[in-house]
Amino acid sequence: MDSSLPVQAYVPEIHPTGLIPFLLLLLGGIACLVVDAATGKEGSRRYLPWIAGGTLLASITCFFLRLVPGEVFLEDTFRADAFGQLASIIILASTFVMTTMGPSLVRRRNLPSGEFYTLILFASLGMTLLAISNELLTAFISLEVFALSLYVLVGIDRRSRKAAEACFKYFVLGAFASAFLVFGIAFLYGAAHTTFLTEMAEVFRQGYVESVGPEGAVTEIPVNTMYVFVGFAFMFVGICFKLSLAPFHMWAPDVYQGGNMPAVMVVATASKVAAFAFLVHLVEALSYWQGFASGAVYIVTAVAVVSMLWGNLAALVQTNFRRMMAFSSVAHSGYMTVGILVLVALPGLMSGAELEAGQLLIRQAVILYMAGYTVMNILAFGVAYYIGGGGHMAAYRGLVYRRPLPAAGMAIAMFSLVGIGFTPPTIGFMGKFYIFKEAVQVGFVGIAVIALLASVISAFYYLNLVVTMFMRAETKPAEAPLAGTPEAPVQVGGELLARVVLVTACVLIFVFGIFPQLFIGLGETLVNGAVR
Amino acid sequence: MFLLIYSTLFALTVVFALGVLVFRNTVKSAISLVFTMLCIAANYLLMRQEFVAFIQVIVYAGAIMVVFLFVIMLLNLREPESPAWYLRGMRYWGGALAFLFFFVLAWGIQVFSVADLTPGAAALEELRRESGQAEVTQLATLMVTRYIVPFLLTSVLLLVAVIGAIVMARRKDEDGRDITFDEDEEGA
Repeated sequence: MDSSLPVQAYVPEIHPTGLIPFLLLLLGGIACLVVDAATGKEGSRRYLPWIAGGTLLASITCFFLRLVPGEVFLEDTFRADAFGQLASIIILASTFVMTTMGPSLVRRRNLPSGEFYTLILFASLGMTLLAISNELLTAFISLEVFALSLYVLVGIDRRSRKAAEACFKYFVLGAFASAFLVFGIAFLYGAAHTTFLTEMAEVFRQGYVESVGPEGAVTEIPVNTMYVFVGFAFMFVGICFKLSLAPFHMWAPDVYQGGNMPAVMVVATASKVAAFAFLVHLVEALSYWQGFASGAVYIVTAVAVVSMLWGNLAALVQTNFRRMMAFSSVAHSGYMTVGILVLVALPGLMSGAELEAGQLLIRQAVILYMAGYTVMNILAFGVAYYIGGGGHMAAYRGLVYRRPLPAAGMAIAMFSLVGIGFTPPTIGFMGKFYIFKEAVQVGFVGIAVIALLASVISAFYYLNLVVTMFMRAETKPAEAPLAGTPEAPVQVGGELLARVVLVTACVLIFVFGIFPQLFIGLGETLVNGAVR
Repeated sequence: MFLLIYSTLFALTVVFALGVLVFRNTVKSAISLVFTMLCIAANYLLMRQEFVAFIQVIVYAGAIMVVFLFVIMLLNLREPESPAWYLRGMRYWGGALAFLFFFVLAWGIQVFSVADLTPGAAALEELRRESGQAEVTQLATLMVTRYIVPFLLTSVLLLVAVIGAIVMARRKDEDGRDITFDEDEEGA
C-alpha cells in the first residue's frame, strides 16, 4: 500500500461507551426488521413492542449510567453536554410512549408492525443524534433520518385518506425546508471554513480564518458577515419548519389532524425537542460573531412574536381538538424561541465567565420548558388516544361523567399548557417563568409582555376544552357515534402500561413544577460524573 | 485554444438548455436535458473539479434522468392540452421570473466575491499541491476519517428511505388484501 495515505496514520479519538445508546437504537431497529421477517404477522405483533420498548428503555438507562461523555467526543462530531443529554432522554421517553401506544394502533388499523417499530427506533436514533451533534453534516443527515421516518410513520395508515394527505404535505414541505437547511450550511462553511460548531465558535470569536498558503505562509481571511447572516437565515428557516414556527407552520394543522395519534404525538414533542436542541447549539456558536446579534435579533424576534400571537389566535377559532393542539404547539415553539432570542443577544451584553453562566441559565430554562412541553403534550395526546376521542370536540363533551380519570388527566394537561397566572405548581408555569425571567433580565421586556398576553389568550381555548368536558352530553354517547371516533375506549393490549405512562406524566407535571431544580440538577449529575 | 474549448462548451450548454424549453416533445426535451447535464459536467472538468464532474454525470445525467424518462414513459404524455384560463399567462410570468433570477444570480456573484467564497476549493488545491494526490483521493480520505459519522449515517438514511418507499408503495397489506381508502374522517 502507498504509505503516503494518511488513512494508516489515522487513529480516531473515540469514547466507545458514548456510542452505546445510539448503537443500541440502530441494532434494535435492525433486530425489529429481522424478527418481523422471521416470525410473521402474529409473532411480530407479539414480540416487536417488547423489543422496541426494551431498546428505548435500555438506551435511556445508558444515559443514566453515565456512559456518554459530558462534552465533545468522537472527533468533535458529537457534543453531549447536560442540555443535549437531557434532550436525548426526553426524546427517547416520548418515542417510548409511542411504542406503548403501538400494539393497539397496529391491531386496530392493521398496520405492518415490523416497519412501524423499526421506523420508531430509527427516528429516535436520528433525533438523539441531532440533539447532540456538533457538526453540520452529521446534523443534516440525522435530521433527514428522523424526518423520513416520521413522514412514513404519519402516513403508515394507508387506509386513511386524511393520513395520505398529511403524509404528502409533510413530505413535500419537509423536503423543501431541507433544501434551505443545506443551503445555509454551505454558507456557514463558506464563512468559517469548518463544519464543526465548536471550531466555528472559535473562528467567530477571533474574527478570521487562518489559511496556510504555499510555503507555509499563514494568511488571515476575515469572516464575511454576509455569509454568516445568509447562512443563519437559511438554516433558521429550515429549522423553523421542523419547529412549526409561524410563518412556516402551514403543514402542522393538517398533519396533526390526519396522522395517527401516536405519530402526531412524536412529531409534536420529540422532533421539536431535537430540532430545538440543535438550534440552541447552533445559535450559541454563531452568537460569538460580533455583530451577529444586531441582525439576527430581528429575525428571531419576528418569528417568535408572530408564532405566539398567530398560534394562539388561530387556536381560538378551531373546532377540532387536533387542529387546536397544532396551533397550540406553534405558540409553544414561539415561547421557546424567546429563549433563543436571549441566547442570540447574550454575548453582546457580557463576556467571559459571566457569559458562560448566562448561557448555562438559558439552556436550563429552555430544556425545562421542552421537558414540560413534552410531558403535557404526551398527556393530552395520550388521553385523547386512549379514550378514542380523536379530533371532534363533541367526543369530549361530558367526559368527566363518563370517564373521570382520563378527564382529570386531560384537565391537568390543559391547565399546565396555559402555564401562567393561576397554575403555579405545574411544569408549564415553571418553564414559562424561567424563560420570561431570562428575557426580562436581558432587556426584552416588550417581548415578555407579548408572551404573557399570548398566554392569557391561550387560557380561553385550553379552558374551553375543560369546560366542554364538564358539560352534560346532549344526547347519549351511544346514539351519536362519530365516524372515525369510536366512543368505546381502546381496549386492545397495553392498557395497563398506558395507564402507568399517563399517570407518570401527571405526576411529573407536578413534581417538576414544584421542584424544577430536580430536573436541572439531573442534567448536571449526568454530565459531571460522566465516564471519560 | 483553451478559450475556444471554453466558449464552445458554454454555447453548447445554453443551446441544449434552450432545447429543453423549446421542444414540444417531452422525450426530446428530456434528452436535451441529459446533454445539458453532460455539458455542465465538462465545464466542471475544465475547472479541475473532477469529483463534482463525475458526480454530475453519475447522479444527474445517470440516475435522475432515468427517473425522468421513466415517468415520461409511464405517464405516456402527448401534446399538451390547452391550459386553464388562469394558467395561460404563466409562460410570460415564468419568462419574467427567469430573467429576474438571472439578474439576482449575477448580482449575487458580484456581491459575494467568488475568490474567498470557495474555501473548499482553495483547501483542496492546497492539499493537491502538497500531496500530489487527486481531489477524489482527498475527499475519500476525509470521508473515512474525520467525516466517518455522517458517511455511516447515510447508510441508515438509505435504509429508512427503502423501508419508507416499501411501506408507502405496496398495494396489498400483510393479509394479502388490497389496500383501499376507508371512509373515515381522520386518522386513527
